[in-house]
Amino acid sequence: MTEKLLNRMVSEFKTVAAGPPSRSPSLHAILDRTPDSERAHHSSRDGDSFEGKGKSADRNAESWKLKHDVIRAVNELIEDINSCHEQIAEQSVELIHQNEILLTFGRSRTVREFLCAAKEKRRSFHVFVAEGAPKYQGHALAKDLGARGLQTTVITDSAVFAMISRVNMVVVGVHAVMANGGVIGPVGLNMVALAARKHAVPFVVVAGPHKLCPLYPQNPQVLLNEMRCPSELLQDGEFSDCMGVCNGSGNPLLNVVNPAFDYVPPELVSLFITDIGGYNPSFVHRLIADYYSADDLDLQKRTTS
Amino acid sequence: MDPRRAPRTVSDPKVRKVGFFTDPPDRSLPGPPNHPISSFPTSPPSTVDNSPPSAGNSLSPVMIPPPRHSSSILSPLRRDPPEFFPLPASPTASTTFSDDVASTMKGRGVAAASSSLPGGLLFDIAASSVPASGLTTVSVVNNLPIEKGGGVAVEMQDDQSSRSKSLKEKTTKAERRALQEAQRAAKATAKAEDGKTPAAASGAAASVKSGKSVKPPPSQKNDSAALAALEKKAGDRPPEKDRKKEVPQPRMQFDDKSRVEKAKRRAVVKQTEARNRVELFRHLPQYERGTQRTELQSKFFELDPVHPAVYKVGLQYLYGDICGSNARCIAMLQAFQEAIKDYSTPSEKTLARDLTAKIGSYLSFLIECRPLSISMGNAIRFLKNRIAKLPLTLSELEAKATLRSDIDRFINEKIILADKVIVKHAVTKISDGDVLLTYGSPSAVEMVLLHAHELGKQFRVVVVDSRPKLEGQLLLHRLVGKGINCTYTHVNAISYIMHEVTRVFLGASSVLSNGTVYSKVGTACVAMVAHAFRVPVLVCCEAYKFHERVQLDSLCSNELGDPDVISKIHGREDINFLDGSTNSENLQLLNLIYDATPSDYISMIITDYGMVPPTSVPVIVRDYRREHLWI
Repeated sequence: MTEKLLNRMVSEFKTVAAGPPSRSPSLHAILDRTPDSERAHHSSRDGDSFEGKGKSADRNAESWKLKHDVIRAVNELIEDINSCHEQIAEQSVELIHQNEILLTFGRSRTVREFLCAAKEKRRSFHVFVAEGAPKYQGHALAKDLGARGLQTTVITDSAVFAMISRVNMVVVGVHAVMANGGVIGPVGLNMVALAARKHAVPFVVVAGPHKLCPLYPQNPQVLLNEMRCPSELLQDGEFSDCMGVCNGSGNPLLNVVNPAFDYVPPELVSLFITDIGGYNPSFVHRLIADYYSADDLDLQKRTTS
Repeated sequence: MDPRRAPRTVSDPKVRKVGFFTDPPDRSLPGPPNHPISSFPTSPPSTVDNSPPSAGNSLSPVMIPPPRHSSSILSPLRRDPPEFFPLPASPTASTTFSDDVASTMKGRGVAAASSSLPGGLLFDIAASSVPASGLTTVSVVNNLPIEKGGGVAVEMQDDQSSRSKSLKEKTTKAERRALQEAQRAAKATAKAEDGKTPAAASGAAASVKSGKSVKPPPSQKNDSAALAALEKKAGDRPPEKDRKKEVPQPRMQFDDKSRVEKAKRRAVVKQTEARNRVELFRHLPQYERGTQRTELQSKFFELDPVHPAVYKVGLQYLYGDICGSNARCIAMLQAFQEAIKDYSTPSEKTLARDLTAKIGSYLSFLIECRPLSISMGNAIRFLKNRIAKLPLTLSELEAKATLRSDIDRFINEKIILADKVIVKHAVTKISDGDVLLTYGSPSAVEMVLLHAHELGKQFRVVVVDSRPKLEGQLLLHRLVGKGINCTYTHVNAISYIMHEVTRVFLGASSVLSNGTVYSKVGTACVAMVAHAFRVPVLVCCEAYKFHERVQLDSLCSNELGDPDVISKIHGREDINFLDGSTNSENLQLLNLIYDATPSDYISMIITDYGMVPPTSVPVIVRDYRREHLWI
């Protein structure tokens, strides 16, 4: 997630520090310039430091302006992230009607704002919150929603298929939206999406623009995943006798798998709600072009000089 | 992968002769040479030749017992009694013939006429023409009553499918009616005592059939029809009436206030209903757990009518010490055995009626502790049936001994031996290198895994678990203790783990008549994800758990567990968002116990009757229950 945030942040550079207009704005283009200026700076320092200072003053002014612009852009970005919730929540009235039953999974601030905005508009509806093991963030969300006056019911994740036949819509928040329209979300989200597809229930993803990621997922279950601590699932005390047991070839007999994220393919997503409106999964790649430049996709790439 | 179809050659449109006509004299010849579509190679011979690959195996994976109703029709027509899938008399001829068959009937696998004849309607019954295939219908019935060869597995499907008109064939209405009456007659005779007039009925049936193919003189038909009608009257009425009585009674819906009040008055133990209930589940009972336990404990000495063994079992249900439908069923039956041992008939009462009433009262106590599972319901029906069928001449001691031995036999045959049979079938589905996934802690699946491990098969197990019961940890302990390589995960991670799984084994609390598997909540999720990843799902379930009820979703009938368990997370005391909010008016907790898995996610159900698809469950419930299970 931080990588994606960094991506987003870094993409702002190009809009701010336009640099020489002859080259297409991209981060690497900008970074290209600075080493050159640094080198020139260094060469000029070989001489008298006094003269060097005089000359470097110009360089400093330029880089200072650059820094200022970047800082301003980052602040704007933070502002955007904080305010996207309101813009998304404004669209909730069009999607949620009276006497509906909604299902959500885990905890997401965007979803909370989304639902509360509909509540403000006097829509009465019921929310089922799936608890979202192993973090159980669903409990926190349910408590918040209950405190705000929404009819909420907490269900276990295993009961999702049982309840989905009565649900009108599934609304979830996610960690990242990939360029093909697929979604990286909390573990268990794929199960919910499959159940929704089976019962023809719309699966709506609310996501702010900072969640867009320009990458196309390749084997996302493995490569874009994280493994969490197994003690969240098993208490070591009860299984201490099993933990150390090995079979003949020295491999442990007991493995515990605790992935953190889940990938939902774009076929299972019905709609994306962003601050600039609702979109199909097939449209996401256009949104990404608005925020990112094609050269910036690989953060690790070193510019060829 | 579909085999590639050979390119079609242009052929003249088939000219068909419509209507019935006599057999050609060369009907025993397999594929005639001047076949218009002879260019068809063996397009799916596999569909035609339906005998399972293990046909020569002594342990046939699908045991289709000798059919009862169709045997009377076809016994005079068959040469040898049916065994498990005997091969057809002349296999090579049959395959070639069935190729022609397949080609003419577009691969339906029906023994159609030799297409040298322009009349495509006549059904050739050369000895080789009845392979053990999905032969449908009327074709077989229409066969002249001469060599039927060994096509045995046909008969089972015969009767059921004989009503389906899968061929575009134009029988006249009269012939169809006669056919149906013949079949009804045959069924009736099979139901009535065997000695009655099977020969006559089958003779009638045979004559009907022969009548069909040979422009039947109306008199013959009338005779057979009359005979059939008579047979029908005699034999048919009792079974049909019994069938009607078997429609399951609608269960008590707890949102009906008047009935709830009545039930409360009759209740042994007072229970307070839970205050904060989910609207969708008002039709299910939910009580305050705390008060339940104290009430029951305080009333122990007042509960005269309840036998101590039954009381103990009830408490075990309440506290969750006994879990799993087999364990609960066995515990309940053994408690009833004790109760029957200590029972003495009061004066001026008959044993049967009084004992039934007593059992009823024990049952209502047990229901108050925890609602009955479907398997327990079936066991109770069996017990009541046996009590009702006790001959009046028995003394009390003898009657009690009979009942107790019946219960023993039920437990032994329906549960213990059934499990052994299930294990024997299921281990054939496990091969080396498999990665098997199981959910929760099903007793049958555990036995299968342990047995397969003893046999030396190399496999890995993925145990998927879920809240709030975390039953998978018990299974995990036992498996790792035996040395099986296990992976443990929770139900949310099944999408992650499913790509390496080769088979999914699930347990069931019951299988309903529309093929829906009713089992612990979360099973449906596992089956759905497995289906999405194209992993076969096998359900291990004893046949006594099948029920004639149908259910479409998980809400109409379920069980609600203790909601407080959801807010407390075992072992993770740091997470307590919901502490103290259970009484908030907007927030409810829902703890479902069961869910219903649709039958399209299930590949196969492994029972003591063999490995059957979910569509066979109503067949087992309806046709085999009565004689085998005495339910």
